[in-house]
Amino acid sequence: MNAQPEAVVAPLLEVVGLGAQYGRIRALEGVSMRVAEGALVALIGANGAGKTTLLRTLSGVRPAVEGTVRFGGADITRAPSQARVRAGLAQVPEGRQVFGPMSVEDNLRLGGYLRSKADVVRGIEHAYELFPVLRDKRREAAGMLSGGQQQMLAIGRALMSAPKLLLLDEPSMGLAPKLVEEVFGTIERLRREGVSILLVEQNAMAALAIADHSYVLETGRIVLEGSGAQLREDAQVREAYLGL
Amino acid sequence: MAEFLQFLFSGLTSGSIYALAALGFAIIFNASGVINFAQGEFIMLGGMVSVFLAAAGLALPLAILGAVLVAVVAGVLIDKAAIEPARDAEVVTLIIITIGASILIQGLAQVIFGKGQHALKPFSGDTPLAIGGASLLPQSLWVMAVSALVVVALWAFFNRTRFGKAMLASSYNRLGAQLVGIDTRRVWLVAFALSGALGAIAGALAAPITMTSYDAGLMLGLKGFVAATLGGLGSGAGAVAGGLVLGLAEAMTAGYVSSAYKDAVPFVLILLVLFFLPRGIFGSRAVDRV
Repeated sequence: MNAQPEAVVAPLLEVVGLGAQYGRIRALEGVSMRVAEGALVALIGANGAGKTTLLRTLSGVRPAVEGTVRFGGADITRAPSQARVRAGLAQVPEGRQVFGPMSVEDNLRLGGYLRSKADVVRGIEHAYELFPVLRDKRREAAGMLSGGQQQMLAIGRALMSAPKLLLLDEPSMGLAPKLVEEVFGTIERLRREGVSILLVEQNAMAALAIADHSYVLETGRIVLEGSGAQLREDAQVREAYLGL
Repeated sequence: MAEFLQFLFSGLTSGSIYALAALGFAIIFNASGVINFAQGEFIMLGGMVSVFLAAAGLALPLAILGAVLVAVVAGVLIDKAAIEPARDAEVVTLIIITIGASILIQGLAQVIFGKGQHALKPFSGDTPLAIGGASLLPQSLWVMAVSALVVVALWAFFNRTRFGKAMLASSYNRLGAQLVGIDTRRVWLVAFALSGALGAIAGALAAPITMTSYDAGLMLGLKGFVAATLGGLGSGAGAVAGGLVLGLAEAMTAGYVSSAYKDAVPFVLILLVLFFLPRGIFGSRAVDRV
C-alpha cells in the first residue's frame, strides 16, 4: 500500500489518531497520516469532509481533542500556532486570508514575522522572483489584487517563514484554468526546491497526478490511502472524486 | 465671533478627550471585535487616581504616571482574568464581561475613593489666555497638545513598528495573522493595556476641567463609544474625527441652544449617523475582493 519510502528516519509530519470537534459536532475522528521529508502528499475529499479542519488543527489554530501530532520528531499537539510556524510548519489557508488593506510588501513582510530582518529581505526577493507580478504590485493593497494574484501572495507570504512543510488548502479554488495550471506549476517547483507539501484539493485529478502519496478523507475519517496512481485506478475514487 | 471662538475652544477641548476615549474603543475593537464597556472606567481611574496620589503628596507628573499604570494594570487584569479565558466565546458574551468589569471597577472606586466630586490641580495654572476676545484655559492647551501627541505616537506605533503592524494585521484577518506566527493573545493583551493607558491619560487631562468622581466613567465612556461609532468603529482617523465632531456639536448646542441639551447631543447624533451612515463617517473602505 504505502508508496512512501518506509520510515527508516521518522517522517517530517506524523499524525496519529487525531480528533477535533466544532462545539458538540465531531469534525475529525482517528485521523492518522504522515508526510515524509521532501514528499508531496495530497488530501482529497468532498466538501465538509473535514479537510480544512484537519489543516487548521495541524497549524494549531483549532484544538485537537485527542491524538498526537509530531513534527520533525517533536510532539506539537498542544503547541500554539506561532511555535509551529517557528518550527517550520506554514499554511496557505482556504480563501487566501491576506491582510486586505495592507500593501503586498507588508503582507510578505508579516509572513516573515518570526524571522530576522536580513531573512525577511531575502525572503521578499525570493517571493518576487517566484511571482514577478507581486513585485509590480508591491505598493498596492492586497485586497485589490485579482484572485490569482492573491493566491500567489498567500503562497509567497507562507514561504516567508522558510517552512519545511507547506500546508496548502484549496489553492486552485475559484481560479481560471490557466491560473490553476500556474499554481500547480508553482507547487511542483517548490517541491523541487525541497519544501515538503501537504496539498488539500477539490481538483482531485490534478492533485493525484502530482502527489507521491494520497489520502481520502470522508466525514472526518481517512478511508483510503495510496499512491496517486493507485487511487486514480480505485473504482470508488474514480466515481466519487474524479467523476469518471 | 468672540462667542463662536469661545464655543470652538470648548468643543475642541472636550472633543480631544472624546477622541482619546474613542481610540481606546477602536484599539480593543480592532484586536478582538469586542466593544469594551470598561473603557469609561479607565478614564475615571486616570482622573481619580491622579487626584488621590497628588493629594497624598506626589508631584503631579508622578501622580498621573501612577494613574496611567493603575489603568494599564486594570486593562491587563480584565484581559487575563476575564476575557482571555473566554476568548472562544461569542463576542456578545465578551462584551457583557466588559460591562461586568466596568461595574466592578466602579464599585471598588466608590469604596476606595468615596462618593465625592474631586478636581485635579490644573497642570500650569488657571490664568486664561485671551485670544480674539475669547478666553482659553491653559489646561485646554494641555488637553489638545497631549492628545495630538498621543495620536501621532499611536500612528507611528501602528504604521512603523513590527508589533504595531502585527496588531493591525490581526485586526484585518485574525486567521491570517495566526498562520504567520503572530501571537494573537499578546495582541489582545497589548490592546487592553494600551486602551487603559489612553483612557487614563484622557481622564487625567480632563480632571482639572470637568471634576471627576467614582461614576464619571459612565458618561465619558458612552461619549467615547458614540465618537468611535460616529467615525466608523475600528478606524483610528475616524475615532479622532468622531471625537472632535462630537465635542464641537456639544459645545455649539450648549452655546447657541441650551446647555440643558448638551448631554443629549451624542445620542441624537448617533441615531442620525446610524440611520444615514450606518458604517460611520469613515466607514470601512471595501477593499476586500473575494
